[in-house]
Amino acid sequence: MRHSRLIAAALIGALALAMAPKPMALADGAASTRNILIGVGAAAGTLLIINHNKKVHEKYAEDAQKQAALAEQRDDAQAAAQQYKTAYEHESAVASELKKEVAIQQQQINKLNAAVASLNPPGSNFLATHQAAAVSTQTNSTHQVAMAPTQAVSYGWGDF
Amino acid sequence: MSARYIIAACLLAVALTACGQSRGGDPQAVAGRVAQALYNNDYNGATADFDDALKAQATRTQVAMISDKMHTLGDYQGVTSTKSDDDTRRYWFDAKFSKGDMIVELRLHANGQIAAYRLVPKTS
Repeated sequence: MRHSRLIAAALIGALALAMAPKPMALADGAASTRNILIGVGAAAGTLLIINHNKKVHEKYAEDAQKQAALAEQRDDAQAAAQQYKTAYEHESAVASELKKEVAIQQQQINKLNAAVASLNPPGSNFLATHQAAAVSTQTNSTHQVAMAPTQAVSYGWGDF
Repeated sequence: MSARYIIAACLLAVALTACGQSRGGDPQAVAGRVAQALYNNDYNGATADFDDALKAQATRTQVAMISDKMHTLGDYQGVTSTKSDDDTRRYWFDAKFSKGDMIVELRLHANGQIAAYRLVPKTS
């Protein structure tokens, strides 16, 4: 408050000096001192004004920065939410496509199952597992490996 | 003149007998004939020697499938006997193809009809 009055007085003084008719430069010392004082007063007032404006702008800038930061955070959250929504929509579309793909694959599996069923109807042993190798052991230089019997598929008719 | 007729009749009888034996009795011939028919996707040829039960089971789709399996191994080159059990009339053969082999398992009835015929792809 005190600073404001001082600044206002300095401004008024500076304006008055600026508006006043410029005196002729006087050669005497008193006049020179007065001129110097007037100049110093005007400069001081100007400095005060500048400093005040500087502080105000700094405060505004600080507030603006805070607002900007808040706005930025708010905007980021909104943007993130929008991105989440967009991503969800894309994922939903991907899931929908996957469902279609699974349905098509299921149809193919059903067709293959039907084909297999037609090849090997109930009571038929056209496709049968077949024991391909008996249990044996195979020896190499360092290890003895047990060979388990393996199941192979056989095609044909009748029980062998 | 009559001697020539007799000789010719004997030769004809021998030939007919041989043909009859080769058609029904020789397991390798039977196995080879069925394998060749399967390779050719010839349903009637493949099932000609089957007994009634096997004929009822076999379908053209199954014959076609086996034919496809055989063709993946290349050209059919015949069967050779690898093992036999005359008491049970069970026979094993190696069916040779240009790019691999299959095992043929054959079981015959006493009358020469096929009681079982199976093909086992060889795994390397």
